[in-house]
Amino acid sequence: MADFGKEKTVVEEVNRSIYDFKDKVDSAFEVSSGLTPDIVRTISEEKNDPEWMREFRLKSLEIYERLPIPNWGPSIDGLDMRNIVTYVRPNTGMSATWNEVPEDIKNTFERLGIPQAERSGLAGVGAQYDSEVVYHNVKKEVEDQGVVYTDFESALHSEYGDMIREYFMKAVPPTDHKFAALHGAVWSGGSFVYVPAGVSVEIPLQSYFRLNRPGAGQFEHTLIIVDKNAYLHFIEGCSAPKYNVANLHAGCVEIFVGENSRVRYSTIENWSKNMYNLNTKRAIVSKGGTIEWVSGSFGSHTSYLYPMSILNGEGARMEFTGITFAGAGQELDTGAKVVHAAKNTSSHISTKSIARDGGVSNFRSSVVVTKEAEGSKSSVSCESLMLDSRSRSDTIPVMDIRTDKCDVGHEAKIGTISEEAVFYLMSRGISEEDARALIVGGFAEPIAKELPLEYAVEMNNLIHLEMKGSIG
Amino acid sequence: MEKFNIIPSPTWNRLGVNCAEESAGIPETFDSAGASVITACPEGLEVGDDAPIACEELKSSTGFDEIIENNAAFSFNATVEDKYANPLVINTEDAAVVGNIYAVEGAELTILHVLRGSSETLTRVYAEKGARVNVVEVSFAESDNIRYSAFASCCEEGAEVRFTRCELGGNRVVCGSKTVLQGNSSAYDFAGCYFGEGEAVLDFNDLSEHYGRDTLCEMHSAGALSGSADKILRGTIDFKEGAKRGVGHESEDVILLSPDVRDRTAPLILCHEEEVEGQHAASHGRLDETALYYLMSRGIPEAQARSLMVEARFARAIDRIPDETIREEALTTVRRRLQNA
Repeated sequence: MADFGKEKTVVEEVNRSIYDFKDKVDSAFEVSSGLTPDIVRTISEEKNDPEWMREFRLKSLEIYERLPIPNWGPSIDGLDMRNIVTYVRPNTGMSATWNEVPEDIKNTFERLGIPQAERSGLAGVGAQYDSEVVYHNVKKEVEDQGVVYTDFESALHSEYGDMIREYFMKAVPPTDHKFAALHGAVWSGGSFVYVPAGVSVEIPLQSYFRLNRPGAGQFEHTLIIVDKNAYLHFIEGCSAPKYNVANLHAGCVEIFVGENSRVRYSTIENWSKNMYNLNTKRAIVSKGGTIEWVSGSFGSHTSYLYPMSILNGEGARMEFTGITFAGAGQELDTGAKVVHAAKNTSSHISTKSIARDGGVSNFRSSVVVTKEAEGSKSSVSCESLMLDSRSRSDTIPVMDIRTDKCDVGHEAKIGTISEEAVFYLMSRGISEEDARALIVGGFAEPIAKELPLEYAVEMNNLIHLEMKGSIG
Repeated sequence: MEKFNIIPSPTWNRLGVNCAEESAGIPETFDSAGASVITACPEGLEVGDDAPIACEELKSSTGFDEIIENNAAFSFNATVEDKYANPLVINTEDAAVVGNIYAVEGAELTILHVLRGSSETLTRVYAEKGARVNVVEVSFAESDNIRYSAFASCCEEGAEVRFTRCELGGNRVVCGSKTVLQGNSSAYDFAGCYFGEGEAVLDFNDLSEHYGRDTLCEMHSAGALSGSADKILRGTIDFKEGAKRGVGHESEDVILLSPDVRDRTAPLILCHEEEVEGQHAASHGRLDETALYYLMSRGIPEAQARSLMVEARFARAIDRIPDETIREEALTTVRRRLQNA
């Protein structure tokens, strides 16, 4: 039975000051707001698309117009596509050295710590500003291994053009949902990664997405193809300054994990609180492969974010570790989806969420075990902390099982700190305050330890836990 | 088309759990030519035709209360003003029945409703301060029967409603319950079990809404699916703002006995209050081979060991049947269905 303490732990609001600086809008070109076939054609022309891509965009627009907005999840009434500028080209080309990046944009990324991170421990960095990548570089020793890490447009026009055509929006087809179709129509920027068979990229690659223009949308596409027996850790960061008009992020991440390969995809999402984050991420995992998602959601006005894993090959694995922190004015609907489509596949979803100050943090998941997935195992665990009664936290998991030869488990908790645990720790000589601090610190810790070091530090800065008595 | 058993908070449409699917089809009229008979009534309890108004205002989570009400040829209505040790027992076969129970402050009553053939039931319970009402429904529907069950209840301060639903067969089984814990320190205790075999379609939607402070809800279901049975269970604990110190526990344990079954579960916790404890747990899969091996190593034949393990899961619900004969019949039915599986 729960024991409800009187004093509360104070969890401070996420400190956003380091993300809220704004550059003067200085775009070289932008389309008018709204979404029409002419706008899509203009984007296609501006980007010098091959013919197949131009047709793909227009077809996606047709699908977008046909599909309804979701009849579940948080309200997106505040998002009016007529007011969204879908393409904004910054006043610069793409560079491979920071010195060639215009001063104000370079300063923005300096303040976000991207060049420093590149120097200290990344194999390659891509930096996108509004709709285009302004910086992309990969270390020579990684390049020498045959690893391709480049901006998406360059790859599209390179020897990898055919490969992109083969894989582009195959994991996430435009018919998947309305905002996948929108992405197919107006995508711009993003990264292309190819890791050859047998190559292990020991240090991570990172792409950072910054949206500066008020009322704009960002639709970057990340395509990662990892061949057999390879390893990659890819880090994605994103932020934007806060404006009083709606911004939209409808990016798309597609990951193809080869046989016996492992991919780790880490994200810290720090969009501003005027952002509608309707992002789609999906991995298709081959035999013996592993996809690991690590996800921290802190920003956005409204988020729909559920990285999906399709375990297509025998023995494929998926792990999802996520934390969501919803504060005032935020409704963050996050979670994960997995489809077990082959024998002996396994998945583990573990999430923590905190809602405070009127914020809404929802956990949503789906675990589908198909008839072919004999011997598969899945476990889902989600824990939520509500820090006041103005906030809201809903847990909405679904399991769909179509074979008897599987084990599927689910557990969820919403609640207060366990007095038994406090008592136990105190019986071991730890003061009550320290015991409570230990337990609350432990709440976020399983997620923090999965993050890259600099992001773990950042998360600790974002959530400053100040212990005062019990959590309530 | 009208939707039934609507989930309290919808999710991805393609999962098909947001409401009962067309295959669960609810007709506008029922072909219910059978009868419903009160076979035991505690001394002093008056069962009549007039439904207490407070009960009539209650709604279940099914959306088909009105259809059952319009089709019901039988009813049992009672205002309970005393504590009754013996149960009110109703036997229904191929009939639609509406029951309304209003328990005044401190009153206590148990109702056992035994259902055979195709049956449709709407049961509404209003429990005043400190009242205790225990409703047990046991359906022995067979593979050519349909079964619709709607249950609604409301608890004032300190009141407790127990609802037990044993759905031991049927071709189409659509059930929903909703309990409103209005008063402080009120409690709801739900235990359900179901057996889906053949081409059965089962659809459940159970909901506990917490408004008062210090409320408690226990919602636990166990099931077994064989053949190509297709089941959806939605179980929701909803802590409304102000439901301070509310506690809700929910679980489902499903044994899958055939590679052709489909088993969908959506265990929701909706939370708009900080000081609560909500938990749900779900387990789906085959019988644990290690436990089976252990029982067999003790000399128990495999079939019996399997039966024991399923019965153990169903025990929470079946043990609450307040009649030994019916309880034994329920266990025999489960064993028979296991043999067929």
